[in-house]
Amino acid sequence: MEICRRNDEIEISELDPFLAELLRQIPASTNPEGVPAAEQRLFSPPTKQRKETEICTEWKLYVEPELRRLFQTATETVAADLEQLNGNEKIFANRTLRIPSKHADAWLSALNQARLVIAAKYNFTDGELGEHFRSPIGSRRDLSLFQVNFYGFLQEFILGELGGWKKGPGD
Amino acid sequence: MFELKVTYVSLLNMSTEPLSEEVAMDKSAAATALPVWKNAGPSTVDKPTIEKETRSEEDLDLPWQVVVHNDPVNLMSYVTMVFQRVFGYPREKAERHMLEVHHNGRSILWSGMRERAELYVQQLHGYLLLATLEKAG
Repeated sequence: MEICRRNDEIEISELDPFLAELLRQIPASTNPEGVPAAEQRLFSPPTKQRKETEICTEWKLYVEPELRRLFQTATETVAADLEQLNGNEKIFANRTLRIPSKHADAWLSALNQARLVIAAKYNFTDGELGEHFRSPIGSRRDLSLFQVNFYGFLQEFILGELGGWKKGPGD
Repeated sequence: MFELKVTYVSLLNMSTEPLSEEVAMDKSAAATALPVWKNAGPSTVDKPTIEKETRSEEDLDLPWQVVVHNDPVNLMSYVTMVFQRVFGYPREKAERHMLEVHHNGRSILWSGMRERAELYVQQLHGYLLLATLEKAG
């Protein structure tokens, strides 16, 4: 896999079928349904002070629906970009994905949602999350940890490029 | 008229820039925005009646803190970027707060009026950070 910035896009080329599949799974991985810990992480309460129940009630009523819409919009943008991976090439051929710079924030959000949901689902410890190269992948849990780290790597790259885009090429 | 009611902005239109100073209204500004009845002229004017009180005096007196809590999943570079965007902090200050969160488990990012603190927490949740409001003191 190669990742680089080309003009106003991030280009991920030489994507093998395994990594392409991990990318395709981003939208589905953002869904916290059926995992209360993930739901609670994405929609955490606005205060830990017990007597402030009024804030929590208002939050559920007004803010949470907005957050859901915000997260969904980001996920839909990413899902549309990922359509590029569903071309007519041979199943085992390497793919290329191009992410427009204006979608960078949506990608950061969707990747973050996915990482948080997966981490909550598998209840990864701090130690596990620090193991960036657990090898070999022997279980679904190992694969999910790899997924979290792979998405984190993409986030890091996009974050680095965001600074570059703000300054503008050649600055 | 100064209305003490919580308002929520649409996160879909969430700006990447910090709130402008016009939006922010600290306690002194809020005090000057309130009508000054004692200089209003002759005493023929009826005493105003307060129709609805939405916040107690205690709420107005105490500043509120925006606290960000540690989270092993969010990347350090991401958290720094969010602090820069939401609070308009320079990179060094944003990194200091990020490291405080990382090492101490939490950091107070801002304190002041409740309405603005709520907006900050709302924005931080939009970026998926673990943030809460706390009454100071």
